[in-house]
Amino acid sequence: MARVSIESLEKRYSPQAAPAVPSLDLQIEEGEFLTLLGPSGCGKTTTLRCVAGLERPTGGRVSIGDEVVDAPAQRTHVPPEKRDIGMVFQSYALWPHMSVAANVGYPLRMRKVSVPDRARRVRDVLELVGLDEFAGRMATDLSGGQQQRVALARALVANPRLLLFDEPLSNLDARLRQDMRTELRDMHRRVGTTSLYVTHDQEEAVSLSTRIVLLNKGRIEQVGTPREIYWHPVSHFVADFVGYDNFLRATVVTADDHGISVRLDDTELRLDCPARAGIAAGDAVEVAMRSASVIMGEPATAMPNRFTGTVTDIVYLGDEYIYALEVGPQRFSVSLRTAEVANIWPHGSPLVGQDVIAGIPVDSLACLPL
Amino acid sequence: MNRLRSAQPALLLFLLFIAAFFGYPLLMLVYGAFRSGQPGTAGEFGLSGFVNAYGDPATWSTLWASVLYALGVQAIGIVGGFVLAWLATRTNTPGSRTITITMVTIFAIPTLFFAISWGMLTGPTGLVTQVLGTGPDGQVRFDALSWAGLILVSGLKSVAVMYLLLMGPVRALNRSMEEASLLSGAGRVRTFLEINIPILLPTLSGLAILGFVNSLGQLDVALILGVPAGIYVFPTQIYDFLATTPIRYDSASALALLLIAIIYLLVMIRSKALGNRNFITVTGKAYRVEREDIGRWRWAGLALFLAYAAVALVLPLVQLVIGSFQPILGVTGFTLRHYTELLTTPNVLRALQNTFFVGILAGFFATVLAVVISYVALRSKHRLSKVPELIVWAVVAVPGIVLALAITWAYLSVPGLRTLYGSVWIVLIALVIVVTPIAQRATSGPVGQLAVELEESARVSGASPVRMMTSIVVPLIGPTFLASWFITGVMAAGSLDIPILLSSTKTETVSLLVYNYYTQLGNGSRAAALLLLLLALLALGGAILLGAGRLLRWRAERRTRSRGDLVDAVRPPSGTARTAAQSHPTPTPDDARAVSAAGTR
Repeated sequence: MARVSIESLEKRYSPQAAPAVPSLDLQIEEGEFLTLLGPSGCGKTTTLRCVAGLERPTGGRVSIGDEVVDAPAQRTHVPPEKRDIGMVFQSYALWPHMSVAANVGYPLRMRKVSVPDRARRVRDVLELVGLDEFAGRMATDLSGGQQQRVALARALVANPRLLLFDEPLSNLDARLRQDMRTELRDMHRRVGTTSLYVTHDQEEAVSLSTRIVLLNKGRIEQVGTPREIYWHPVSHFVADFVGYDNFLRATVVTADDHGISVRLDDTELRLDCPARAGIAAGDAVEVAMRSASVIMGEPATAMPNRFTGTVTDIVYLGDEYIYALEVGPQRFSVSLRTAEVANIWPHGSPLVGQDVIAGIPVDSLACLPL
Repeated sequence: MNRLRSAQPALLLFLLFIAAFFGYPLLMLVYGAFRSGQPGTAGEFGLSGFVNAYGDPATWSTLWASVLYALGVQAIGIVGGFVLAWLATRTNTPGSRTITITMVTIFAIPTLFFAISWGMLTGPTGLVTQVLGTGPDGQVRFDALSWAGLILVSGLKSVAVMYLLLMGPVRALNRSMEEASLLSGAGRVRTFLEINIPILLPTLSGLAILGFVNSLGQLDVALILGVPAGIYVFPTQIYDFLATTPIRYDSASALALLLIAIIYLLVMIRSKALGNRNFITVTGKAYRVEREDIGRWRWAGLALFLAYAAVALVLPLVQLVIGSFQPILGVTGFTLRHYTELLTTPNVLRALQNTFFVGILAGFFATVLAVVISYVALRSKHRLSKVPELIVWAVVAVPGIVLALAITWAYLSVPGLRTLYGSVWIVLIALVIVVTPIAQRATSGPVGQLAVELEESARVSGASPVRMMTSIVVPLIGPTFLASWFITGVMAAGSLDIPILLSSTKTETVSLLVYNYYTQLGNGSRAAALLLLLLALLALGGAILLGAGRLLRWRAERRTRSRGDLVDAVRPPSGTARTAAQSHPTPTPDDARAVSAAGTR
């Protein structure tokens, strides 16, 4: 196990083109499960591949443990085979001409582990991923989920000091993805190897990671625990990426250490938001919330951020309803689970044109500078 | 449903035609092997052909010679082709585009060219002899009329063929498998040997067998370089039976059957051994397909390629140009006589006419047949709809000389068809049969990709079947059609083994005339001049076709764009409509694919 430190990492694919990663600083602590999250082209895979040694950075420095593995200024580059890391690829990358056991045992063979030790270790790891009975099969005869487990076993087998995951679940279908997610989490709890994980799926990132780094165009937008990223996005980009779907223009009325109070533009509606540095009274801001965080009807009457809006549209999606509410020129979208709707309005839910009471918990609002 | 049912007699008729056209000659070959006498004359059934051919110990030494020759050629072809394909597609060796263009050129030039040119290169005053000099006994140090020469000349051409066939598989290698190996702790070399090579092994061994089979049936080089040195392989032995009196059709046929049997055995072994070991791998999105930086080694790669191009292409071409200006081959001097004579010799002009006639038509008919066969197999639900495909695949392994012999039997034995013999049509028929499997390989991919939905949506949009064909199907496979036509046409035009048996004096093609000039003493220079003339004309044809393809593509793009503008004009510009119209995929001619498919021959 080891910590990884990335200092002002720069990667350009050609001298003329804009860098894929302009300058990135990041520390991965020992035993941490850190996820690089972002849309395609944000530089997350490039960063991962630089750590793996599959890509040579054009600037900065990468160290694993105490060893500097990349420092282009000093012409230092440790090739991937000398880095002692394990990696799980998106396409599994199992070798089709080898059996499952041979695939998994390959890293041990490269490390010159004796045959009996190798066999024992391969069996243990295959047992760990629940594939011990498939050891003799050809790797490509297995299903996608099984193949990815073999790939995981291969990455784990040599007890590398660092594990890398390059969107390992994106080739699997939704059900399998959930199962594998749980397995990966259990695995990390048991093995505890420092892990760097790349994905564009926020749910995956939130459920797996100890820390998430949100990347945009090669730059870090926000670093934080899953909770911080999920509930306290610092920018429109982050909020949008982690599922905030209501963005309303507002002006700050008061701001202090206890909270921020804003007034939605062109309305009299005042909302209280959690405190946040760097915002002062009079600032134009954007208030972000998830449609699922808004509460309507009876339960909202006791809430501080309470308002009355007009229903302008109702969309029925089976297990949920989406209501469009209007407060002056501002539009909210609110989603309610079907069961909740029946619970709140036992004598019939509101129709288009009617006014309803709605409320938003303070903590579910994010005040974003414009 | 009604339409489908009414189409069935047509399908059966088509099936019958394919079976007769491709299958019948081969059956007649079997018939001929058991029958004494010439085709179309009275004869007795018996085993005399087999007894004569197999009883002769020379036949068995021919067999070993053929095997040795084919092995040698394959060793050079596979190794050279693989190394160069790897350098060009996977490393940053400079000039990778030039490498491919060179390979296509070498591939398109008739084998005859290389054989004759190497004969001249190692002649007493040839360029190679001038560099290497003569030994103490006055003999040239390197003579192409030898085992080494035979294998080298065929091997050099085989490198280009294998390069074109391997380019795709090497490029398609899943990079993450290599990366996984590197991260497991294996070095670059070890990864190459333990991961890349085993993954490519099915492809490599399949191609090796294909190439081996191809070499077994190859006549041109063996005829021009082997026979004068007393080296006989199967095709030359078959030709010998037919060209020297007493003409022994039965023995030639018996030998041809043995050759076909060996070839089919190999093809079967290949499909049995590799049938279920096709390493199709899950490919995720390719992260980056950029070539690897191999540092200084890239200059070594470039040097290797330049050396190959010099020996395989530049040297033969220069020698041929020099030879064509010499008064008599090997005598120093400069004259334009051979060229002026060519243009005034009536049979040269006739041969050029014949060559272009059979080249253009054979390429066209083969491609049409191939497209129709694939299309029928793709669309018809009838259980026999895939049979034509199978028949054509069965012909792919039949060597040209054997097919020419089979055609002789098939057409001379039937009174009505006999009149075709000696006409240019018989040559055309044989060439169509020979090149159709290649056209099939070149077009089956694009035709197979014609999703039914594309056609159905055209019909639903209001297009009649004819309109659907002309507006959807033809534009989509048009470029492939042209590429296949050109490749198969060039192969037909450069063929020697078909005309050498089937042409009469009136229906001589250029390659046959070149062969005749070359083997007649003193006319080597004229042969060189004629070969260069043929090459120039082929290159011209290629350039015209390439231009036509470019024009078509440009027009299609312009039309698409103007239609996109039309959409914008009707609707207020919304941005999305425009980009959608512009990014409409225009099919690009997959020339490389066609070429690599043709390489199987």
